[in-house]
Amino acid sequence: MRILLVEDARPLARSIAEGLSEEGFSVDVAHDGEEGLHLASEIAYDAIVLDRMLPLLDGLGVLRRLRAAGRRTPVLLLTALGEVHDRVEGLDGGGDDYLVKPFAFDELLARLRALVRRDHGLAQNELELGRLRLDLAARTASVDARPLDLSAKEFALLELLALEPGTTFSRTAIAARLYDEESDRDSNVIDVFVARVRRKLDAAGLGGAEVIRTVRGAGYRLDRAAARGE
Amino acid sequence: VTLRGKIVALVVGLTLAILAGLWLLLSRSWGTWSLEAVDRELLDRAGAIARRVEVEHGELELEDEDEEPAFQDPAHPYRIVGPRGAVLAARGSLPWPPPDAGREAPWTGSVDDASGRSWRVVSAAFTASGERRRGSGGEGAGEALAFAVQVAGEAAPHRALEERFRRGLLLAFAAALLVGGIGAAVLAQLSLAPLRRVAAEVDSMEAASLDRRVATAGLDPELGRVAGAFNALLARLEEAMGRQRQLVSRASHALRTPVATILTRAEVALRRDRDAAAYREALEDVAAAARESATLVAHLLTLSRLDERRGAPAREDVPLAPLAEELVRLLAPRAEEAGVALEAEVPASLALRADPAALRELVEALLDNAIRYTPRGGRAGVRAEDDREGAALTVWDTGPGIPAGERAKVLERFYRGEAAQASGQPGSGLGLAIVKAIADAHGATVALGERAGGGLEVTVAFPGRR
Repeated sequence: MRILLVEDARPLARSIAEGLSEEGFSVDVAHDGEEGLHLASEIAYDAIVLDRMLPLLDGLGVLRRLRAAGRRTPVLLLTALGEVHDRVEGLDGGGDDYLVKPFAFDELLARLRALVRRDHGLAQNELELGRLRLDLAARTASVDARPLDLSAKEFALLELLALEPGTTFSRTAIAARLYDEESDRDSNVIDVFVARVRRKLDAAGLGGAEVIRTVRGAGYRLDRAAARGE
Repeated sequence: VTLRGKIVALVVGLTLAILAGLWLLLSRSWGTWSLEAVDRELLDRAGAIARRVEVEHGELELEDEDEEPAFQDPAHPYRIVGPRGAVLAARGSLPWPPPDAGREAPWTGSVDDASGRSWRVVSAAFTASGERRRGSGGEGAGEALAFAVQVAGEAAPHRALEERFRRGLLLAFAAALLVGGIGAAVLAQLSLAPLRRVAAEVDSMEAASLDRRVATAGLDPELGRVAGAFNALLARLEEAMGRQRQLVSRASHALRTPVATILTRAEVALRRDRDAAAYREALEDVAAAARESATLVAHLLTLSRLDERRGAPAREDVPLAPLAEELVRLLAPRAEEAGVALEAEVPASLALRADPAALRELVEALLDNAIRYTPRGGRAGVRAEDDREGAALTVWDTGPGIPAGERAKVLERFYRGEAAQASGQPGSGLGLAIVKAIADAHGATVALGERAGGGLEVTVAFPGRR
């Protein structure tokens, strides 16, 4: 899951980014509205955390321009403005959720997960694909109720494929969703991750190469039938 | 009483007064005019009768009276009175006036007969030839004999006519009054309808819809002015509300951001076990945010103290040079850390008439800003000069400056310039507001400008002694 965080208070932005990274999100940080708008227009984020009061272009301006440009990325507005009319203005301006500063970090996490989940049409944090089961909140996966020992990035990979089973993701697309702008991105490393996840699925008794199929020349996709063990 | 009621009452009252006056005038004039007509007719009859009177052998005689209808008309009694009161001819019995009435000019009057009927009577003097005595005179002067002809006509028909006229007039006036009243009501309704529309529009407005305006299209100029004045008021209200809202949002941003930083930093740090260096880093961030919070609270308290103070501060002559040098020395470690060289260039003789503590706060706030926003390797300082007009204290830096469009706003509370926000430097947005408040209390002005060679220059001009 790749998240854009637009927040001008740098220590706060640093804390949020660190917390989110530790929860398996890859996070890009922008410190003003224009940079935020630029990043949000260039990169397909899973969600955007957007402060209302920003230098150069305020959060509402960023949001309106994004929506005007047809971007439907879920946006969580983060703000010091807690009045009813502020919230209404934010939500009417195209925001999907609203969190007033100061907030509990767990609530930010839960709201972000809910936004991403809803964006994929899921009603709960458990994602069940036959024998394979993912808990998006706890960030754990299991086969036949036996937990898989996955690293954060491995889980993120499996989550990405599992949220849209049947869809083929190229290596670069996967890398773009797993790594933030500052990371050294090498799409070959994706092959390494896929191999590791497949091995762990094999160990759990689910054919790794069948569940995560290689689409020659295109990338990888998750096979729903194989996940059911067929 | 409604405005409409007042308008209708006014119009009806005025109409009533005018009509009453008109009625009085007309009914009086009508009485006079119609009596004059009646009298003229009676006089004509008297003349016709008089023409039949001749002098025969020194006596008055009637001649061919059968041919004259005036003699036959029973509705008009008459009497011919000769000299010495001898009645030559008469019809009807009336309390006639004395014959010498009307000797100089025809006499007219009203009398009542025995049965109480009222009569109009004309009495005119003639000479025997049938000529009136006051006429051409002369002819047959030798035989001329004076006599009087008195003719009466019943007053009742005339009175009835007058009555009918009065009644008709009254009826017409009543109708006019009714039409006027209804007209006034309709007019009031019509002219007040836009007023009601405006009232309804204003009624439907709420605090949240201050951006709405009363539609002025199609309003009469008078009402247009009212609506215009109202719209101007709305615009001022909207602006004031906007400013208030902005202040609140800036204040909540300034107050909540450090708290959010402390909370989030601590929560994220506590989510898992970390090494000592990571905890140290987190604690440093928490401490910095807490410091920012503390500064903000201190600034707020300073401002509220300045707000509460009534009247001019207790002033004394404060030598500026030692103050500036002391502050430069105190702030030197911070300036060094930020890579900014501090300078003070104040004439030793210069003293300002000010509250020493407040002046110190003012200079410190300005120097603090200069250090905060000047990039590493830059310079900042304080200088002052005075002349007969007063003294000016300037704090300058080689930083990015403040664009002209923002210079008035940065003096507002909690407003932080774009450059200040983009710098990533923490700041309450209250420093310059404090400078402004202190300057105001001293009757001094604050002007922001561009320093020659780049950077910001804040000049506080103190008025001269009077």
